[in-house]
Amino acid sequence: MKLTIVFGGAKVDNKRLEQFFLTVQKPGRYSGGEMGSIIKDKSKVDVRFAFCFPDTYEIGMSHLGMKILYGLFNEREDIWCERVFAPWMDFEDVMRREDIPLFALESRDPVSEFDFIGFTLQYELSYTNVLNMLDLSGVPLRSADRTDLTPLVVAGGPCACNPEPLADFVDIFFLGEGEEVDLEVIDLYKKYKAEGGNDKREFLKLASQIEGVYVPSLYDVEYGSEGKITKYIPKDGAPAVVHKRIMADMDKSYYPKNFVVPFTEIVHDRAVMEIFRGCIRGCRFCQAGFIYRPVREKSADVINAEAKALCDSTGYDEMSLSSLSTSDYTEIEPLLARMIEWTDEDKISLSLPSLRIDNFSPELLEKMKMIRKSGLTFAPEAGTQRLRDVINKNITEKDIMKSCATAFAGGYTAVKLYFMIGLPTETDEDIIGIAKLGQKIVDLYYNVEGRPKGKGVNVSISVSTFVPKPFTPFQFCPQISKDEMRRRQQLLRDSITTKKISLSWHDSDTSALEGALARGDRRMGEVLLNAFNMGAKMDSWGESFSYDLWMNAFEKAGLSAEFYSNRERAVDEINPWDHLDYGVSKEFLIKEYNLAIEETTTPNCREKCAGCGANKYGKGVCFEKCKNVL
Amino acid sequence: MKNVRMFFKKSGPLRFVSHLDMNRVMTRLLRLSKVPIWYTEGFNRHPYITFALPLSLGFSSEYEVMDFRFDDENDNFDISVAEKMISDVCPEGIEVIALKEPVFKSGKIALADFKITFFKDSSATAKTLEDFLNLKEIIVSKTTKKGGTKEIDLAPKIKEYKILSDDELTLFIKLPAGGEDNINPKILVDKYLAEIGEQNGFYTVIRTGLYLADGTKFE
Repeated sequence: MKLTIVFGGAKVDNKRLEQFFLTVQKPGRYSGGEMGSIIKDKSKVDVRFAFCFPDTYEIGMSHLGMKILYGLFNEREDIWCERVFAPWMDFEDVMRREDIPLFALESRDPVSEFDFIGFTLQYELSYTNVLNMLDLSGVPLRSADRTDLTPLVVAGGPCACNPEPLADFVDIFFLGEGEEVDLEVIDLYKKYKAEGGNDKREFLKLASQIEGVYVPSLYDVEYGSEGKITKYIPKDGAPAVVHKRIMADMDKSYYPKNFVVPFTEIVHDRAVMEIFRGCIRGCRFCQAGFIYRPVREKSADVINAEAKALCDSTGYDEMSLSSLSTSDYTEIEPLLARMIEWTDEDKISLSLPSLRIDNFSPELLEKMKMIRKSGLTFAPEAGTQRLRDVINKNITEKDIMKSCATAFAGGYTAVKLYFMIGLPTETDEDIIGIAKLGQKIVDLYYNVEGRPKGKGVNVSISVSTFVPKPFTPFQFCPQISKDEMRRRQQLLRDSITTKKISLSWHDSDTSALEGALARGDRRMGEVLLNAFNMGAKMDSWGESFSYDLWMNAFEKAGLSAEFYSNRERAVDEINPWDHLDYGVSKEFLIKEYNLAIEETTTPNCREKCAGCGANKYGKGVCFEKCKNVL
Repeated sequence: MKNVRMFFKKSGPLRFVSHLDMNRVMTRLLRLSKVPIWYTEGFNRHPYITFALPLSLGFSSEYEVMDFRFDDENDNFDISVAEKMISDVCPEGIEVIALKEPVFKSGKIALADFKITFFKDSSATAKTLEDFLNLKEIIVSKTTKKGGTKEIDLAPKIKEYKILSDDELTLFIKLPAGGEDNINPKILVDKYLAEIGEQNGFYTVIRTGLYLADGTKFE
C-alpha cells in the first residue's frame, strides 16, 4: 500500500494494521491490493463512494452486481468507488479493541469520510451486518441522527423492493437496476455541493424527484388498530409511487472489461458473463422472476466479445454464464459453439449454472461434455405435478425423467434436486411425492442402457423452506409455522428409504426470520436495532444465528414475527411495498395468486404474454417476435 | 518440455497470500503473460508449477523460487523474452528477479536466511536478544506433521546470526530450511518475546536467501 493513513484516535498506521491482519484468519480479505483494484488520487476526485457488501469478502467478491457498479463508477474520473466488506468476528474484535474504524480496501480510509456509503441488499439476513458496518464506521445508525449532508447512506439490490425494515437507517434507496440512477444521484450530489448546498433534507428532497429514488423519510405511514398499514403519505413533493429503473438495452449497457481478481479463494472465483436479465418463466414463488422483468437479452456477438476480453484481462481459466435460466437464452447453442472455439484454445472451462430441465437437448448436453463436466442440478421445487402447477413450475415428471435419462446415458451418475417445503396448498402427499420422485430417478438409472458401468447413482435432495416474498403472487400467503416446518421435514425424512438418496436441509429458523424481514414494515427497524444491540450479526451464518435472540428483539419492540410471516394477507391490504412499482401490477399478482389456488399454470413470456405490466418499459421479451421456444 | 526456474520477490499485499493461494495467483499470472507454458494432461488441465520452498503467511521474501515448463512446441522459447512477458503483468507485490534454467533440485535446499525487524515500540533490545540467542538451550514445543506437539531445542539450530541496532532492531539469522529440517523463525522470535515478557510484540520477517547444506546459493 502506498498510502499511509493514521486512523482517528487509534494511531494505527498501515504497518501496524497489517500486523493485526496477521493475527486473524484469512488476512487476505482485509489487505486489498488485488489485481484489478483501482487506486486513485483522492485529492483529484469529487465523489468518494464506499461500496459496502454486508457479508464477508468471500461472498461479496463473488457478487456480479458489485463488479459492474465498481467498474462503472470508476470509469468516471471524478468518482472513486472502493470496496468494503463485513469483517469476520475475529477481526471485528481486533477493530473494536484497537479502535480501528471500518475502512475501504483500496485507500484504507475510514468509511465515515466518504460521500456515499452504499450497501447492496442481497438477502434479508444481512440487515444486521448493515447496522454493524455503520457502527464499525462510527456513523450514527439512524438516518435522523446523521444530520450532516455526508456521509449519505444509500442502498440498492433486490431486497430494496421492500426496503421498509431498513427505512430508519438508509437515506436513499435505489429501486431496480442501478447503472443509471446511481450516477444520476451522484451527479445531483456533485452539483448540489458545487452550488454550496449543505442541507441533507434539502438534498434528499431533490433526489426524490429522480425516477428510481426512494427516500423513506419523505413518507409518513399510518397504521390501523390491527397493526396493518392504512396509509402512505408522501411529503415535500415526493412521488406517491416510486418506479424502478431498468437498463433497456443490454447490448449498450456497461459491462466491466476487467474484474478485481482476488488473491485468496472466494466462493465464485471465475470470470462471469451476464447473458440476460429477468426470466420468462414466472414461477410464482420466485421474486427474481418478477422484479427483474422484462426479460432483456444481450446479443451473442456482444457476449462472445465481452467474455473473451474479460478472460484475457483477468487470467481466469474458468468462465460461467450468468442468468436466471441459462438455457432460456434464445441463442444458447450458437453462442456456446462460438465460445468453445476460443475457450478450448485458451484452456478455459465454461460452466453453465441455472440450466432448466425442459429444454435440455442432447445437443446441449454434448456441448457441455466438451466443456468441463460439472454437476447436474435440477430444480423441480415440488414433489407432485399438482403442486408444480400451483407454483407454475411448468415442468412435468416426464420432462424430469427424460432429462435424467439423457444425462445418465451421457455418463452422469449424480443428480442434485432442489425442492421447497411449505409451498402454498402443500399437503403431506406433496411431501411424500418428493421422496417418490427421488426414488423414481434412482430406479430410472438402473434401467438406462449405456449408464456408466459398475457405478452407483446418487440422488441428492436439497430442501429449503418456502419464504413468501414481495412482488410475487404468493406475497399474500402465510408462511408455515416453525412447528409445521419441523413436522413436514420429519415426514420427508421418514419417506426416504434408500441410501442412494441423500437429503440436506436449509435451516428452518433462518427461513422463519427471513419471512418476517422480507414482508416487514418500517416498524421492523426497531426490531433490527434491538437484535443488533443484543449482538445479532452474520445471521446467514448458522454458527452465529440465534432465533431466540430475534424473538426477544421482536418482543421488546412490541411486535410479533407471526404478524409478518404467518397470516394470510387480504389482497386489498396495503403492503409496505405497495407504493413501489417494479413493473408487475398488483392486479396481475392477484390474478396469478387466484390461478395458483385453482392449480392453473400460466404460459411463459415467450409463449403468451400474461399481461404483467412490464411491457410498459417498451423493451425486451414483450416485444420479441412471438416464437415457440419449446 | 523445458524446465524454467523463476526467481522473484514477494512483498506488500502478497504477504497475506498463503502458499495454497499463491499457486492460483501464479497460475493466473502465467496465463496473463501468454508465455507458452506446459499444461498437465488429463481431464483437469492446469499449468504445471511447483514452488521450491513454501513461505509462511505474513512473511515477505526477496528470493522466491518457482518452477514451470515451456510446452513441447516451445522448447527453444527465449527465456529472457519470457522474463519480460511475466514482468510486464506482475501486480504490486511480485517482482521478477530472473528466469533461468534450474541448477539444483529443490530438495537440496537446507538453509534459509531471514531478516527480522522489530517494531519501534517493542521492548526488544540488542542485548536481551543476543543473550537469548546465546543460551545453551532454547526449548520450544513445535507442532508435528501428525498434529501432535514435540519439544525441540532451537539452540543448536541457529547457524549464524547478526544483530543490527540503529533506528530499528534487526536480526539477521540463518536457520535450517527444507524437507530434512525446517525451523520457522517465528517460533524462535515468539519464544524470545515471551522471555522478555512482551505480549503483542510486532515484527516483520523477510526471507532473504535459500542455500544448500554447504552454503552454496540455491539456483
